[in-house]
Amino acid sequence: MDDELPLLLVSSLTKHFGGIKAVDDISFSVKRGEVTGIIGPNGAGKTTLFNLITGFVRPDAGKITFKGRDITHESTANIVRSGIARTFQLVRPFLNLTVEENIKIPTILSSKKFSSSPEKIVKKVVEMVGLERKAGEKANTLTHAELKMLEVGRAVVTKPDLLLLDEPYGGLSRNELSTVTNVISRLSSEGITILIIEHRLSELMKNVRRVLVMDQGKIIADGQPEEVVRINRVVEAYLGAKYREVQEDAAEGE
Amino acid sequence: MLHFRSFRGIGHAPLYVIVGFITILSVLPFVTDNQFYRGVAVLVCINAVIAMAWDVFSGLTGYLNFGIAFSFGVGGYIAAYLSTNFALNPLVSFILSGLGAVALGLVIGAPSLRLKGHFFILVSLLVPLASSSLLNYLIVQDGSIFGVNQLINNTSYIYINAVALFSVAALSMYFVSESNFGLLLKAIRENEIAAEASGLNTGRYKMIAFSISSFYAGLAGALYVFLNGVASPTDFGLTFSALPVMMAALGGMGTIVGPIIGASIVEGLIDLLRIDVIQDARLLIASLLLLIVLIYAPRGLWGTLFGGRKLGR
Repeated sequence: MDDELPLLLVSSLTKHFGGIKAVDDISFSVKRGEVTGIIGPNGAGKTTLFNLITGFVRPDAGKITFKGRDITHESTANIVRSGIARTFQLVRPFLNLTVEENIKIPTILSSKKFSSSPEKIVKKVVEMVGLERKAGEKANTLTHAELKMLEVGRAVVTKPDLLLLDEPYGGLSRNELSTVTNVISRLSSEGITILIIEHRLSELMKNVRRVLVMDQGKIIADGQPEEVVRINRVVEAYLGAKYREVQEDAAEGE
Repeated sequence: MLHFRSFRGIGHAPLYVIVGFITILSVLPFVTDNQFYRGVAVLVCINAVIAMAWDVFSGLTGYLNFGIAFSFGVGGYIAAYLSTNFALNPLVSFILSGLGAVALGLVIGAPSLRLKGHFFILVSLLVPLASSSLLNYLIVQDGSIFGVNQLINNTSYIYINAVALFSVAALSMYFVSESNFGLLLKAIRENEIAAEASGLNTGRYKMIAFSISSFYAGLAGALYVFLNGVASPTDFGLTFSALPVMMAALGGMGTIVGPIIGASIVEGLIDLLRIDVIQDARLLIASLLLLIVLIYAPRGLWGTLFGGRKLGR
């Protein structure tokens, strides 16, 4: 029965910053196990949506329900411990701590009972994100791509039910993209529900079965990737001049 | 700039340093009965405790507290008040001084810990100065000043207490810094938003660290008052706010053992060299020393060798 309930239910969520409607009366739900992409032009309200879900920003109106519980006014710490983890668009590592320590920190706080010892889990995650050779190094010695992976590792170490990835491909070179894509598909196969904000559509499409398109704080389309990119309004709002680029990008990816 | 390669896997090196200090302090009375050396040792203990107390909050969380003199002064006044008005066991009044410093510290700390960066520094700086002004005003009003029961003012007794306080403070705060709890405090220092996103209730952890810091600063203040035989508004002065920061920065912030080394240099070395100067000149010498060290070893003496962090976020 639990499977039929949406894992995340967002209803009439609204947030204004001064006169700007960052998130404007948004409603959607996410089923357990789904991998969903969120696309839209800069300023569409995608990151604000993540900030609202994780309690970093308080909504003006609306409700967020996670695993059947109202988390709209919970603190970030409580939301995270209830099973939502996130990464940031601009990485936020604990620079003067080692890679292992970075990834260990969420396990100290998690209320979950782990199947094996926290040390083993940390080691496994460090390997999964490909940082085993740097495990004892301080985060300030990592490259940008490694920091991106560290960020993902820190978010998934507690096995969250819902993972919010904010532009996981941002600033990565072409070769580095596949590492992230592989990690995402692996996490998805482990049953983690994932929401991904991303601009690199061709890369995104490899993992997602559903795309939400945001523009000016609203969801203007919701469907399978192939359908969504054909909707005129989406093409106008988001793809516009970029449309051809995207097409080329997709062709190249094949 | 010196580029020491940080020693890898330093293991328990800081612990050995702490145990070494405790050993030296314990055998000192058996080696010499020179009262001067004993007095210097007591002052080093008091200063090391307040510098470590500063470090366990500011060095670990990155919230620079420029007003630890507040907790130091409150602890001292409570000790003086209890010892003159009640026939309490000194140990009891000692602990009450620490707890009182925590309670008053939280009254001030709870709202100011919500402030970030420079605003926190400003508030922390002003609180003890305002307290000092208020106490000066009260003295003018009724002419009273808090004295201490002379019975406690016994040098051996104070020496034993100073060493005991130093030992407990150093070991407990070192273990705090090396524990998972300490790691979470460092996460706040490194990136508070990421710490929250990792599930950390940063407000609560900052308060706990602030309480530990206030407790030991209060105890140091109580001991200082027993040593001097009087509690005065100068205990809240800038000296006791600034010196601990300097000692910690000189030795290495966020390392706990760094502040002990810093205190030994600023308080101990300067005294042993018999630079017989008033406290303000000590501040000047400490500043110059700090300036030189920070240019060549920005992570402080211990920090440069064994890994610490620079002053400021």
